[in-house]
Amino acid sequence: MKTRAEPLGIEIIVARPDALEADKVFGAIFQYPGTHGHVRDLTPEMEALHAAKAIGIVAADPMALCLLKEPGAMGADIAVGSTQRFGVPLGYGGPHAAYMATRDAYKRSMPGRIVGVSIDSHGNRAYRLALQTREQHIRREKATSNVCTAQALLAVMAGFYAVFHGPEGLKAIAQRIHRKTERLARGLEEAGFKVEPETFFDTITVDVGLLQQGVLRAAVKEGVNLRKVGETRVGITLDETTRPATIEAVWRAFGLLRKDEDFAPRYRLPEDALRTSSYLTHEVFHMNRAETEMMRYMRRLADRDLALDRAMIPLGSCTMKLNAAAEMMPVSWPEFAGLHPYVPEDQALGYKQMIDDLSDKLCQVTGYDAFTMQPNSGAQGEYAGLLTIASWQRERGEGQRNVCLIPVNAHGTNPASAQMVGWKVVPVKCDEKGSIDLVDFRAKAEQYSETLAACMITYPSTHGVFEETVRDVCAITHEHGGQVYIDGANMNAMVGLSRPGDLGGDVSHLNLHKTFCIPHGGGGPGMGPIGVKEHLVPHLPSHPLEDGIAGPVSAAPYGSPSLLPISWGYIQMMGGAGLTQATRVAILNANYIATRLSGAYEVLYTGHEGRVAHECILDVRPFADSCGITVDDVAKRLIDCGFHAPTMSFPVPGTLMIEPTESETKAELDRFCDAMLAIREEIRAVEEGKADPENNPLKHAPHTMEDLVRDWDRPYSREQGCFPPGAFRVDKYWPPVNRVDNAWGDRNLTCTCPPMSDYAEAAE
Amino acid sequence: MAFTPTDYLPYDFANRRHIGPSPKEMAQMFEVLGVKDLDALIKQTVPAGIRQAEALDLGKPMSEREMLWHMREVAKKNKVLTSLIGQGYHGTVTPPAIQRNIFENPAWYTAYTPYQPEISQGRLEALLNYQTMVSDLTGLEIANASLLDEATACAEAMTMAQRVAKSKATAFFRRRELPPAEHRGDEDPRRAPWH
Repeated sequence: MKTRAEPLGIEIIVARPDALEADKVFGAIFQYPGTHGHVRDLTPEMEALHAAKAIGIVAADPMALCLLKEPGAMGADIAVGSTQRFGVPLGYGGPHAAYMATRDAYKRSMPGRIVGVSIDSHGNRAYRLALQTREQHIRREKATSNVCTAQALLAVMAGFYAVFHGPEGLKAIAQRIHRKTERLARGLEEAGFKVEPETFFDTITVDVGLLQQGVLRAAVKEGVNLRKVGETRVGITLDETTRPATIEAVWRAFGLLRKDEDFAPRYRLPEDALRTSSYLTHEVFHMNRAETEMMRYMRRLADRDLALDRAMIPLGSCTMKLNAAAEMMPVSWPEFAGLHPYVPEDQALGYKQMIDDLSDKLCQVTGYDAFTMQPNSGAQGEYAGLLTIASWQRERGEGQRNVCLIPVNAHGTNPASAQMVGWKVVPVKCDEKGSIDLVDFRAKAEQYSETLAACMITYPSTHGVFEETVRDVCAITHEHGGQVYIDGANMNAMVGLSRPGDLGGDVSHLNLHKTFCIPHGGGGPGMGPIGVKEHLVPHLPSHPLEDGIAGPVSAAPYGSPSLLPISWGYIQMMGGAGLTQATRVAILNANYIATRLSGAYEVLYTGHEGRVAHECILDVRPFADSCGITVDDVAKRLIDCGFHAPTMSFPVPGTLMIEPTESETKAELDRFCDAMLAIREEIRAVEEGKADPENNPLKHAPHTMEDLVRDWDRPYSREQGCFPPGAFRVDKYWPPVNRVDNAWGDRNLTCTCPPMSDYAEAAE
Repeated sequence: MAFTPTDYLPYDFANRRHIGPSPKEMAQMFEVLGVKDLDALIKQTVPAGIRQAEALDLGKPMSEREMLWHMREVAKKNKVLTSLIGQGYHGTVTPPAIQRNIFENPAWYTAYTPYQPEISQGRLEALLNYQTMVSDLTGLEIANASLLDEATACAEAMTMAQRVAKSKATAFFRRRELPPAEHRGDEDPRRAPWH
């Protein structure tokens, strides 16, 4: 938080709660329960803040909220926290989903993705991401943060955990955790130890005076890690997995031989902060919880979606390559999944070996000298990389440098990250080929020679071209005192062929969830480790529990380390030659698509030999002018063919960017090309007046099974509508809804499960 | 002799499993592209001036089985104790049905961000369940579908507060006890506990 505050000119006051002077701050955050176990109703603090027109934030443990008064009832404006303990393994620190909730009045200022309810073209209920105009990829100048990747897979797991247990189950789990804590505390108190606080949920702090080291060491011998608090205290936090044997082991660590056998329920929750409202009242949390029902519910939802297990996802810049089963398996192993991020280092030697070796291999791949695994996404990597540069500039007495040169076609996260560091973004022109305009770049670098902090470039360019001038761009930046940030989003075109560190880059992030096989998880997890040259190493983000020149960017020292076996396993199985071959085949696959489609569509931004790199951009803008068929129509029609659409309108509005990756077979590429060629013929029919400009398969796409079985009054056949080239006959993918109306949903915003009456209406 | 020894390498992960086109398919693709081989295509695509001088050498590639065996050896060096350390991280029971049907199921983990809603209704519903859960438990009207980690969420909340607060103050108050990434310098929880 301090890391984020400094560039924004925010002064952080850290003090005891009774020191809060509400009129001196724009906001305040309170942890609930406190890290040492204290629970107190925060209503007075919230009221004081509101009187001063400031914002109250509560960082709350969702499990505690099953028993304790909820932040909303205390008057909080924003609540944040982690949903890890809702069924998501520790994983030595991640990945886990953090949450944020706020009042209705502030919904348009909330960062991150919000799922909302809308309707489709037949008026049926359909979900989609709401308020997308807030996101940086759409409105870069007004981006509220650089958040891009979330933790969708882990949020899905936490949501299912609640569906699995329902409010009764969650309440029972929370009560059991509390009762175990009470038994533990009582045992210690009866032996004469001083336990704080008097009332608590799941955490107690024990004053052991000079015995601290002895207790901590004895606990480890008993197989338990306790928390060192100050020099004289020990912190203990119990959870769902705590068993009587664990409690007895803790007692033994304190020198007590005692049996945990008195299970009479006792509670020491604070009377004034008990929860009185109900929660999880929606039907979905009250399903029959038999595993048959649960299993089928998960299967039904999965079947509605198109993922890599069914078809190529040819998203430009996203590199949806194979996530091999062998790479995924170790993630679930207890030796990786079961470690707390703050365990003593000698309990995580396997992780250390893996992280060291993976870093070493990534250095060889990129030409950098060191890596940090802390950033949890590409965007966070960018942010961490820029902080590293800023710290280095400050240390050499050039702290005034605050200008960042960014080409106009950069990914939206680039300028958003630069703004988060407090820098001024100066755009650099691109030529008609999408490459950096070297004349403009040089002019801007000279103009800002005294204040140039860095430039941020993507290589190969976001237009998928290997620019030959990249070394010049780096040299000019260095000449004028700046550092070069090379965005690693397109690293899949480089591995084994070219190294950003050799080209002149000082920092790069790698999207391990793109190039190195961590799956996308439906919108996260991700990993965005950064590599740097030697001079920047001391300025890398520090360990969250240790002091460094720069602050940390994640709560956990290694970000989401339980994902690293995926990338490490991938690299070990591929070897240097295999990785290089993968890059070459990625380029082959992209060029194969470009060649097959080049007669039908214009392929933009080819290199001087007429080739593309690992992705290609198709121009569909002319069709909007000639016959009103838009990039959206093409994308939705691809769904009928059984494909996820390519990246739309990036980096050029009205175009499709296709990246097949090396993992797709020729047969799948041909299926995709056949679909795209058939779509081109359908467009031609509209252009030539042979098909109606509105009542045609493109405008009606995607087609559902409902369309197929209801009365058919279209000028084209059912066969053409529902089974275009590319679509499988037996294994046809049927979208569950027709085209979704985004604007309707934003006008009628609903971001929680709609009431059951709405389901009934939709079924009618 | 009818017996012919094969030169097929069944455990070659890179070329058999990870890379899609087979050698035969690649030959057909070269024909469509009008190039002799992969080297010729790369020569046309990647400018000589940016090519790395030496080939990438990361040791002998492992088969899937070898990699998993090696991974197992490394994993054994991690000691799994019961951690009662708290600070935002807790032991939890992942329901086995969720582990098998979500966490280890490619239908869930290989999906992309749901920007195309028509093909994402399943995970959008699952995320809506998550938002409803968060909204209910916190007692606040609207929740998002997750942020990277609690430290990021706290920082995002702070900057959001600055955007929406009517107060023009420039300071932000933090009670002296947040997760360790939030603690810097003098308030390191290990050195200066608040109680």
